[in-house]
Order: sequence, then structure tokens, then C-alpha cells
Amino acid sequence: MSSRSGPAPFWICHECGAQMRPIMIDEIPHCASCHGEFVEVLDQEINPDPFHELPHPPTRPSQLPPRIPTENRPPGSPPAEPSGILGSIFGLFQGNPENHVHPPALPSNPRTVGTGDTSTTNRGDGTRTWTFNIGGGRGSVTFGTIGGMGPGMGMGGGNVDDELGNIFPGFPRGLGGQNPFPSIDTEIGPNTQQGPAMLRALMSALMDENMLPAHLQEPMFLGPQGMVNMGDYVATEQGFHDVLEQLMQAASPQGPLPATDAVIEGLPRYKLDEKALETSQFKDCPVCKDDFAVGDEVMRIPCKHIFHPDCLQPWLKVNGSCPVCRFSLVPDEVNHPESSTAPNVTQQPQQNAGTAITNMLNRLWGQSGTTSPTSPPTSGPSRQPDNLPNPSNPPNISNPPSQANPTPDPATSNSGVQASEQSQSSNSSAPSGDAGITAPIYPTIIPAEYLRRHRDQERGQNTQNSQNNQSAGAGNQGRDDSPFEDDLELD
Amino acid sequence: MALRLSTKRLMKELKDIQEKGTPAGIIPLSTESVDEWVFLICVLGDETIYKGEQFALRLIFSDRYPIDCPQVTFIADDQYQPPLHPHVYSNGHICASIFGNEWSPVLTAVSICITMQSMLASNKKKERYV
Repeated sequence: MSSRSGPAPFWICHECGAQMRPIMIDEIPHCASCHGEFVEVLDQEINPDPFHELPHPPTRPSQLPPRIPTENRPPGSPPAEPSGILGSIFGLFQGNPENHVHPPALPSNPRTVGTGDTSTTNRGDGTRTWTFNIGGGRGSVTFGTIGGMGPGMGMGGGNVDDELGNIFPGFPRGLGGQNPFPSIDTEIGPNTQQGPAMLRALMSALMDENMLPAHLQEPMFLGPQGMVNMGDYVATEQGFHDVLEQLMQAASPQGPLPATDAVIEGLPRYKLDEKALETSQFKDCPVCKDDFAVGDEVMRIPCKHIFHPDCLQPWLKVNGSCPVCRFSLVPDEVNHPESSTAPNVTQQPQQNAGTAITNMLNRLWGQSGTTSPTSPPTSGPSRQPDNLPNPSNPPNISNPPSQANPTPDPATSNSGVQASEQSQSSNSSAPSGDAGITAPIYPTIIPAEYLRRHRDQERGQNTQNSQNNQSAGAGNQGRDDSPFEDDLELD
Repeated sequence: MALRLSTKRLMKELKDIQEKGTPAGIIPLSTESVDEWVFLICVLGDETIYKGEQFALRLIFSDRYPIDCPQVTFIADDQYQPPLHPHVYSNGHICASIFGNEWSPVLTAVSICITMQSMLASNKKKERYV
């Protein structure tokens, strides 16, 4: 369909999600539904991929759990910063082997490498302690047995055990492999199938813990098929219901909801006397069109419009707004339920993520006492602040000042939660010195840079359109500095 | 109420039409039925792309009028064809907000006709959705 010969294309509003034809205010397209300015034309020719710059279709900020920006990532490269524990886990699989795994070549020299959150410690006895940050907690898992007697971890499932040996080269089993660290995203050979299988085991464990919600925010999941957007999948029933609810909200009419009985009952009623009738500017009932008469009982909406009660009430039970001026009798939070209810839904799994991960790891890597004796994963309370000195926790072990980790200073480790989410960035792009100091800025709204580019693009389009379409103005050029981010302060 | 609100309201509208007439370009064609009225709509003036054309707008009122919006379509038969307009389907169905979310009981049959007339008058291109 072409915008030149066909009908005018629909636009999408990135603020309210509505698809509409925009209204032009000062030659700027505004959403016809929410009057937001962040709208984009949906036209195959002009704008083949409206979401191409965004990692996910945008949602309201209230529905966005913290997310790491992934734009500007070269296509095909691993995600810049998979956040949180999953990032740590994936980092172990896909990441730079030197950063995480050491050939057990220095048997007498306990070594730790890592940039503050995910680190493996090789002990001289062949055990491997993997430490990680989860949300607000820290845990560690020890692989192998004290004394190097072979794989002694109590594993829940035998196949997982086998795969572990192949994936973690420090694990005695895997030592013979020529490529003990299969890179999942590039090598899809028969001999690297262990990686995905391991991931599957992890993912299913995560699902069991009910902690992979619909809004799984790991930006990309590197599966055998290449880049897969995990946000496209739901893993739990709750997630499925969330998606259903979103779809139904999107499909239902966006008009105001009915007013509640309490609101209707609360509207003032009075009888019109002669004086009131004379001074009133409303001479007839807008619904039944009958003239008001002395003695008529009327109901008044806060916008001052008056109606016969019998005329107004049936309408308000359908649509809680004034028939004349559309003054809404429905509170905003009822009109936009997502802003009030979504946080409960989406944040709850996040708060539990630490505990759930710990439980999951417990199940995966054995409850039978072979986890690190000094720091059993269960002792990593998910809410314990990272900067509390905890002698039983590995940070002291894993962050010796002599190592490459530039942020051993305990004062900076109070950003440990954020730093953990940044760990992968120190692998790929960001200088590792930033990892512990700069907390990432979570884009709770659409990134400002994207907005700016979007606006520039829009302007270009407008000038283009104005050649063919008189109605499209070219008057946007003067608004280069307009702080339209402010317009995104959503309700 | 002895009389249903819908009937009472329609009688009132009909009386208004008979007493005060309708705006230019809007001609009541059949208003005998209680629940189905037809108006002829013309766009006046030289600027319109519908110059000289006539369209028949059918309004079907439910019991719940004016709380519920009437069903409004352009007639598509041997005698009348719906206008070529991006918001009007070839079967005469009309895509307009006032027939959906933005219906208000304040609107009347005549005001619907005026809305349709201005919708046609503001159109510059004879395009059709399907």
C-alpha cells in the first residue's frame, strides 16, 4: 500500500500504543488518542520498520522494569550488557573465555578473575568457585570436589552433570575437550550441542522457579538459531495472562469507562426553581432535548452541565463522561489501569529474582552439600546490601587488589547491584574502569537520543511530504531545540 | 416514563426537522419509520470533489438511542452509491469516531448528517479504503 496513491497511512503512537491518524497541531503530528507527540507513520515505503531502533516495542514506563539500552550494538554481536544474573550466566557461556575461565594451569595459586560480579576462582585443588551477584545478593557455587577427586557435585540431573563438565573446563571432566568452551552463538556444530542443552536446563529451571516473566528483560537470547528476542516469549502462566491482558486492553475501545454507581449517586441533584431556570444557560436537557421546566429535577456534573437524572444515568453507566463536553467522571488511574496495577505485576518477580535464582542454582548444582562450604548460596540473602562486609561472601576472595579489577575499593562496591549488571560491558566495549563506578542509567522512558533521531527523521519526512501533500506542513524546521522529552512525562 | 426515551427523543427531533427544516444540502428522504430514517446528503459549493453528487445516508435507531449510537451507513444499491472516500467502504460502512468511542447522546440525526456532509466536504481525493 502506498501513501501516495492509497489512503493515508495509519500512525502509531509510541506513548499510548494507539494506531490512528494523527492530528496536526502546529504542523506537528500528535496522537489522536493521547495527544502525545511521539508518533510514527506506519507505512511500508516511508518507514519500513518503525521499531528498528528500539530493542523492544515500547511500553509505558511504568511497565518497564530496568533495562539496559542495547541500541548502537552492531548487528550480530553479543548483547552489550545482559543484565543481572542471566547476563552473568550467559556471559559464562558466550563470553570471553579468558575473562572467566582459566585453564587449571596454576594448581597452587588460587586465582580469581572477573570484574566484580561474576568471577571464577580456581583453587589449587581443582575446585572452581563461581561467584555471582543477584539483584542485591551474592552467591557462589563451587564445582568439583575438594581434593580434585573428580566431579563430586551433587547434581540434580545426570545429564546436566555431563554438560557441565563440557562447559566448564575447570571442571575435571571437561579437560580433555579441545574446545572446552563452545561459543554458542557462532558454532552450531553437533559437538557443541551441549551448550544449548545446558541453557535449556537453565531456562527450564528458571521457569520452574516462576521467575521468567513475560517481561523478561534480557535483551537478547543467543540461541542456536541466532538472535532470538526473549521478550517475545512467555514462560509462565502469569506471563501468559499478562500478555493476554495487554492484548485485550489494546483491543478494547479506548473510550472512557463507565462511571461507578458511587460516582453517579454522588452527583448533586436539585430541583429547578424559576430563578435557577432563568439564570441557567442550559435551557434544555442535552440528552432528551426537552426544555427544562420549573420543578424539574436535574443532575449536575462537575463541569456544570445539567441533565434529567433519567437521561443522564443510563449514559454514565455506559460512558463516564459528560455528554456535552466529555468531562470525565472516571478517575485517571481507573482509566489507565496499567499505571497502577502493572508495577505490582512486573516488580514482584524482580524482587524475588534473587531468591529464585538462588533456589534454582541450588537445584541445578546440587543441594547435597558440595556447594561452597564457606558461602552456601542459600546464605546469600537477596536483599542484603552488597557493601555490607560479609566475611563469608566471596567478594573479598574474588576481588584481590592485585587483579585486573580496578574497583576493589569497598566504597565503590555499594553500586554492586548495578555493577553486576554491567559486567558484560567490561568484556565487550566499556573500559573496565567504569564498571564499578558508573551505574548504568536505566531508560525508564524511551531513550532521549532515539526521540531526537525520530524527530529529525520525522522532519525530513515532513519536508518530503510537503511536496506531494499540501496538508503536510514543512513548518517543523524551527523546532530544533524543542525539549520534546518533557512531553513524554506520561500520566 | 410513558414513552421510551428513544421514541420521545426521535419524535422531538422529527418535530424540529418539520418545524425548522434541515441545513442546506441535507434533505430528509424518509422519516416515517420510527427506527429508520434516510437523508440525502449533498456537498454544496464549487470546491468539492463531490459536486453534483447525492448520497443517501441511512440511520437505524435502537431502543437505546440516544444512549447508543444509531447505525449509520451510506446506502449502496442500484439507486445510490456511497461516496468515494477514504473512510467510507464500498458497502457504505463509515469509519468515523462519533460512531464509536466518541458518540455522545448530545448528537442528533441532523448533527450526524452535518458531520457526514463536512467529512465529504473536507475530502480532497476520491480514494477508497476497500
